Amino acid sequence: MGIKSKPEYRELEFDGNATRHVLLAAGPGGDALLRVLDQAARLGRDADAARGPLDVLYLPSAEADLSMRLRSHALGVDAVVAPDRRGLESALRRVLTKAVMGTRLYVAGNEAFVWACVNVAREAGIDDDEVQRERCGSLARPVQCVHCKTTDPAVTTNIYVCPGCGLHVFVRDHFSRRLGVYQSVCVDAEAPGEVPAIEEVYP
Amino acid sequence: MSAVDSIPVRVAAIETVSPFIKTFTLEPTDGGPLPAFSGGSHVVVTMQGRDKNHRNPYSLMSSPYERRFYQISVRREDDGRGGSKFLHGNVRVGDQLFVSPPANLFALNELGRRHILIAGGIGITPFLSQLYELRAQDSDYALHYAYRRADDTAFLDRLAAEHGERAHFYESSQGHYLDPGRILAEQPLGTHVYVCGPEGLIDTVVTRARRLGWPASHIHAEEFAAPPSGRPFTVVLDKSGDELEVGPDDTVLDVLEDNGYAPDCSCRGGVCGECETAVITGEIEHHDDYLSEEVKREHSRMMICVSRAASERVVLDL
Repeated sequence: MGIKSKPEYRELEFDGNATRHVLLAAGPGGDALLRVLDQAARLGRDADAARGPLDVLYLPSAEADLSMRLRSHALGVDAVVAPDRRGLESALRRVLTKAVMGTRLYVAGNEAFVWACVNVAREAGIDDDEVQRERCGSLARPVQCVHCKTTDPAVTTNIYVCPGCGLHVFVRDHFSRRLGVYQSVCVDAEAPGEVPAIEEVYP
Repeated sequence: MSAVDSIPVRVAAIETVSPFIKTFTLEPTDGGPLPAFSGGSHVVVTMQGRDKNHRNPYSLMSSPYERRFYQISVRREDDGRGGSKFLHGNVRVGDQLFVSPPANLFALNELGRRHILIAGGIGITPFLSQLYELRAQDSDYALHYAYRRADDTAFLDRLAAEHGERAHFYESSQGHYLDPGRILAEQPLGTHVYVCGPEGLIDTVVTRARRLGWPASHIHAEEFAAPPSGRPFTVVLDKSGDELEVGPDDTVLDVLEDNGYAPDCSCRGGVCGECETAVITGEIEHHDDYLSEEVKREHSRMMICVSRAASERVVLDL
């Protein structure tokens, strides 16, 4: 795609080397966690001691609510179901205060959710290569307008009207890991009023 | 970086710190401050011997905040290629040597929240310069130093005095062994581990850290394996047509430098990648930790600081 900063995602996979596991998901991302739990369960009872503690933090969404299936998973993990993202983030902070080196984070959800979790984890001292990320559900992008710095948490089109400054801004692939947002820039600066067709490209 | 960047230095002091280890203090001949460096850096020391030049990499052990001199500590390796024996036996106070500008392949991670340093024997040297930084920055750290016998080991009293409870000592001849599993367990998030010493210690620490789920970015190792000896061979330089003989104790890099070439190089230990050279024909006996197994099997590239030809001739793209 050309731009290095554009994040990559892959299917979550249980990491048998890790000594503590923190699983996080929003909405349809719960499916990815169920898969990881299945993989952990397949390691069998004997692996329980070696596997170390496993936490599940889940945020249901309008798209999907997999709370029941996560809670009733055969592995018998006591899943925390958060009422909103702030609740989930504070639960994550709490879990990470007890974490040590060897902890693996598994995050599944839309991009805004994934990077909000990554940033909480980073504050706790977790690096990018200790986190697995899977994008699930909507492709909507969290985008920050480079002109007024207003962030729109879910942009689905190639061009949108910035809610902060009202400019027509184009969504780039340029991504800030620190902020967890893509960048958008004014699309008609050179020829005011000439706005290309707006299409839904991040459904 | 090549030999032409060398800085002339004068040996200002030589101290015997253990039966096999001497510390050399090197001052710039021109009096100016030496290049700045960060903890964990090394320099390549060039010594002009009677028959040949010796070039060996040594970690800087003096303070990174001190630019009037560098210090290195050298363990005499009687089975080595002669550089350390030359420093021990032939170099006197007042002699001139050359050092390369410092390079760092073993730097502390600036964002690390805690640093665990694990040294085996003379592998303590890069940590000595890092410890100045850790103390100056008031960092959280621990030093674990393993050695065979205390009487043969350098810097024990100094480390105990300066680092108190942060320093841990393991004398294997007394039955005290360093246990990486215990050291690495239950470390807070953001901890980095650094290991320098014999290959066996490095392997054990790295393997244990990986098994405990430490990510690669938090595991740092430095091994300065001396280039191995082997059968003599001929190296042919494709561009100039020169044919040079590499003796049993020489390296391709040494021979090139002795013949006026200045190939890129830095660590002289097969880890940094600077001296990677394309092989046109010939089979290579690889001794580096840089090229991938796949590339090594193709015999298409070699690290000329440590690797040798397995065939009688090797043609290089130089």
